[in-house]
Amino acid sequence: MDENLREPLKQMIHKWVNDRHQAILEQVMLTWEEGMGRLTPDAALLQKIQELLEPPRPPEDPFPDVVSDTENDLGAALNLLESSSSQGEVLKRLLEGLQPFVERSALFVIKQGIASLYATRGFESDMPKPGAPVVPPPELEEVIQCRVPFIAMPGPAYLALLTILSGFEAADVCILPLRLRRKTVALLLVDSGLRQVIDHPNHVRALAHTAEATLSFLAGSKEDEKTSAPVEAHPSMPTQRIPEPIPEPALPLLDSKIRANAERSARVLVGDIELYFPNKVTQGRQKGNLYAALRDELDRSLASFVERYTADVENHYHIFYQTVLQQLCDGDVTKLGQAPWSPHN
Amino acid sequence: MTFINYASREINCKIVYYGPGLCGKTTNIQWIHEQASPEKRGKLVSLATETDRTLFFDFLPLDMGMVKGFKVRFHLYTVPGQVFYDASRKLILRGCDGVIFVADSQRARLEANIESIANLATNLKDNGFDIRNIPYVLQLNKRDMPTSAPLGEMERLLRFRNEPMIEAVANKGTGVIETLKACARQILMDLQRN
Repeated sequence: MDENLREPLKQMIHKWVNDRHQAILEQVMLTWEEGMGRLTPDAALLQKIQELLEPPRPPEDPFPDVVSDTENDLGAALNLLESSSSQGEVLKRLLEGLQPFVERSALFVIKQGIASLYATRGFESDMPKPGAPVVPPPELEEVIQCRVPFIAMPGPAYLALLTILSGFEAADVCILPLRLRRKTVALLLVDSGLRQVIDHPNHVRALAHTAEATLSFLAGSKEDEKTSAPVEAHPSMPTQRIPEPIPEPALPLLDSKIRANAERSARVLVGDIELYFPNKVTQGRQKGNLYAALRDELDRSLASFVERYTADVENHYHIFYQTVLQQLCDGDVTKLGQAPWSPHN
Repeated sequence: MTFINYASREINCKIVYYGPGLCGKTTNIQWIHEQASPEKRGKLVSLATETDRTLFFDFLPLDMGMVKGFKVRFHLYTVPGQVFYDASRKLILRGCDGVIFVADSQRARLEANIESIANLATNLKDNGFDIRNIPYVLQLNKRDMPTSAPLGEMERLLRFRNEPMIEAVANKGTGVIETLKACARQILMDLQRN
């Protein structure tokens, strides 16, 4: 090939190759950009990705599955109380259910104005003596007589109950009555132990009220069983049956030797009062207010008697009361005045 | 529990006067206090009510001489007699070396004596003692009262282990020192044996 032609041909082919190369590059860039355009996420994809990335919201449920330990404890305690089959079981389960909420708790049963220790939790093991009696001070009497709903601070009432439980006074206290037909049948004492406050006072109240309701329900069930026999209808019969009081259990047999000892103890206790307080006895006899004149001495003596022979013995046989009547009142009940533990009350 | 101090060569023993209310326990140690020479007796401490009745206890330290080179000092305590002061009585019996039971001889108080001995047995047991083998003396006080029960009847009701039984009229001092000596003798013999 002529040398003169080679150079212009070479330049023409180079230009063509460069043009094609440029065209191909432009084509690739367009295709790339088009492809990239197709990969841009749209709103629907973003919404889906967002939904996938966010944790699921809990359903709006009035009884959520995830609840605190305290709620679980309260629920368990309520279940425990509601499934009780006897009144004694209610009282024992109440203390069991209260365990997560208070450091120390105790139950006292009220009979004839005397509080007798029934069960405890959290107090020193060697101190509490079941059946140990406490003569309620006036502050506690207000609760027992339903004049005050409860006591929420330390004071004479707490100290009186604590005497037979522990030597350690807690900073925060709650004393609640358990009532059956508007009558206080038991007292619940809870305190904060070594802590400064009771953490869940309202849980305690809720459980006490549930125990009350369960006691009432069980008492009603007993009556229903008794009165399940058909009753002849009468036009003047009230539509709502008024519940009768729960019958006292059958009179327990008292061993003659124990009875003789109990009678002797009662005579000695009452004899002590005559010996140590002759003036008060004389005045009380004359004015017919022996109980008012000798309230502390008589209550303490009864507490001693009950501690030794149990409240049941006194409730059934009235040994102490009869001794007071014969020895102090010369058999005349009007000389005694209003004693809360008199069987006539 | 007898306390022996070898450094000062002293033996300290605790005797408790026990018995029903108003039987004469305080009268016993008051008499001893009056009769003991001032250098041998300590101060008589009484925690009494407004009507002079023992509320918690009476206490009288009394030196009783030397035994084998040791000065023997007796600490005499009384307890409140009223039945419902039981916690105080139990507390005072703690660590005692001997008990003097002061019985009231008046017939009307026989039951109170029996009740009090039963209570003593319980409280001694709660303190780790046995009423059947602790140094023990029975004093029959108020023997001069016209209503006092016969000696034989009281012995039958109250004496249960052949313990020394001493008749007394504490407010006149009759039998008071003899009672104390009888108890002290048993304690010292026990001490020698052990």
